Amino acid sequence: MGKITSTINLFLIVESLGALGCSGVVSTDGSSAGLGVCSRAASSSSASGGVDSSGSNVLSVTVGSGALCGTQSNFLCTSVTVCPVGSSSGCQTLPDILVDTGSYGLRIFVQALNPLLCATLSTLSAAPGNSVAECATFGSLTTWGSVMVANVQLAGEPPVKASIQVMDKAFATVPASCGQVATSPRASGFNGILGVGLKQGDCGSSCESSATNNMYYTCTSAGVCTSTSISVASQVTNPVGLLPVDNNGVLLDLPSVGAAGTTSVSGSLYLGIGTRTNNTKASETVYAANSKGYFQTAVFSQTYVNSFIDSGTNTFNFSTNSGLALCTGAFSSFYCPVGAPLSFTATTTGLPSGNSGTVSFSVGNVLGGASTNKVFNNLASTLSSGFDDNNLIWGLPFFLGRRVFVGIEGKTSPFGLGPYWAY
Amino acid sequence: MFSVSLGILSFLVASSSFASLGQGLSSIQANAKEIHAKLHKSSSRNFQGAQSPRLSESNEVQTYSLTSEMNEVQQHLDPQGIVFAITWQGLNHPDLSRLLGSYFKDYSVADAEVKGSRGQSLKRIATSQLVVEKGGHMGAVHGIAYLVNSVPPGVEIDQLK
Repeated sequence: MGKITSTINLFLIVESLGALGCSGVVSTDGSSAGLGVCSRAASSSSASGGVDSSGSNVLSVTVGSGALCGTQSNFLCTSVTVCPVGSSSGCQTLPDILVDTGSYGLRIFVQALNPLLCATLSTLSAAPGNSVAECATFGSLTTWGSVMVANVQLAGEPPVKASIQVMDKAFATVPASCGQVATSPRASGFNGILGVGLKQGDCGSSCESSATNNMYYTCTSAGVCTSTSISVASQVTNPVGLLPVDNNGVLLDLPSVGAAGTTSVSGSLYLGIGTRTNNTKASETVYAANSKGYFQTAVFSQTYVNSFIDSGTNTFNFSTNSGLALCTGAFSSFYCPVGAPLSFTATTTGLPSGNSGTVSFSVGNVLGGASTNKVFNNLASTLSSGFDDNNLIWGLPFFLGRRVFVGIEGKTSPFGLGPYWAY
Repeated sequence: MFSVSLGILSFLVASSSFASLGQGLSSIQANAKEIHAKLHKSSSRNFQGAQSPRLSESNEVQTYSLTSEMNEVQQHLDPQGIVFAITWQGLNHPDLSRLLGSYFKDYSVADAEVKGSRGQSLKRIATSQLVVEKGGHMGAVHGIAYLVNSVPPGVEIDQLK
């Protein structure tokens, strides 16, 4: 991508306590207009924990469990604790947070947030009376809402001060360029997203240099939002990279399942790589990722140069001309091969250069498993038109029965310098 | 297939509407100015041949690229000079409210009915006239929008990248 020198200076983003939109605009009946950041926050909270007893750096994770995540196939979820900046009281532990190695930063639906906590989070302002919001784009999903600063606590780690997104379709006026955005926990199948992928800030230097990024916005009290530049330090950020010690990445460890799938599994998300006895390098091979977060996969007599490993995608996702049969009807974007499950061996290679190694996987019939099962190691879907036939996504099935390290860009570990995957 | 670089074209604003899809080169130039993007002609491709052996005349598709800090957008013009498809890749999706023009309203209605999920990686939105597909992951997304009834004979949509 070409770079264009911007003549627009970076706005000074100011953090302030006592959320503007929470305390100032919210009316008692919750029907506030304008920037009512917290007016739609929930009144109930949950106390379920995400801390594994085996270490302060271990988050317990599940697939097929949870009031929300348990309704979906292959949704990997955990719990995260959010507190006001500099405070250890007034905190909330949120369950059903999707663990996503394909994005960066913590995002929570406003409906899941305790309004008392929401009102005590800090806001970011690019101008007096304004607040910062974000339109964050994932592959198939867009999230909109204000950017706030919180203490985020992962497992038993010290809390870190981080910008998070409070996802809220009703915050200010969603810019037209943002399109349709995620609406609610119920519709999405999760309370929030914990992005623990290869990067730190969710936009990076491009949002520092471009004020017309259409990603970060400054919104007036009347709810009118204009694209703005923002420093990497103020961007929604991967909280793992902010930890005092265990900050160079994560290790995700999930058990294997049979070809028919199962109802649920439990596993561990270890914070840090080679920082403790529970996250050490063993016989894994390291695969470098390029600046776009891709490496290469060769399979089906084809080379996919835009391949990546993503716990937030619930399938193996690719296009192929190899004759693998698709399902019909409502499931036509999924594979239903004859004689399923079929076994394949792929070769993954680091980019722009690096190690190669093989990955064995299978493609099952998406209509074949028991309807009560929510965990599948052979769920595969296609990209409908083949327009992005360079893409192959190793989604959640890849992680079942495989220890996978995710190394953050610019951080070192026994595997070397991030960004990389190792397995 | 060959590639021609003509450098940066002068920006001649010929329309107050910044739509591109279904319109001509002038709308692309207007868009480039509005969003502070660099415009250049990136290729001319003749789709006559293996893909369309029945066609006797040349079927040239010209492609213009809009490059900004955040993404690169390719606008594909049919032999009559009308944009029939748009493809893109970058940090985020481009402003479709601008690029789709009069098709954006129908697109938005259809978009609201398609459930996008973090659990899935690709979203396909189709109206009677338009198909839009958006995919990728945070920091590296891509997509395509095309008018289903305006694709020139012999042109393979999959090859517009």
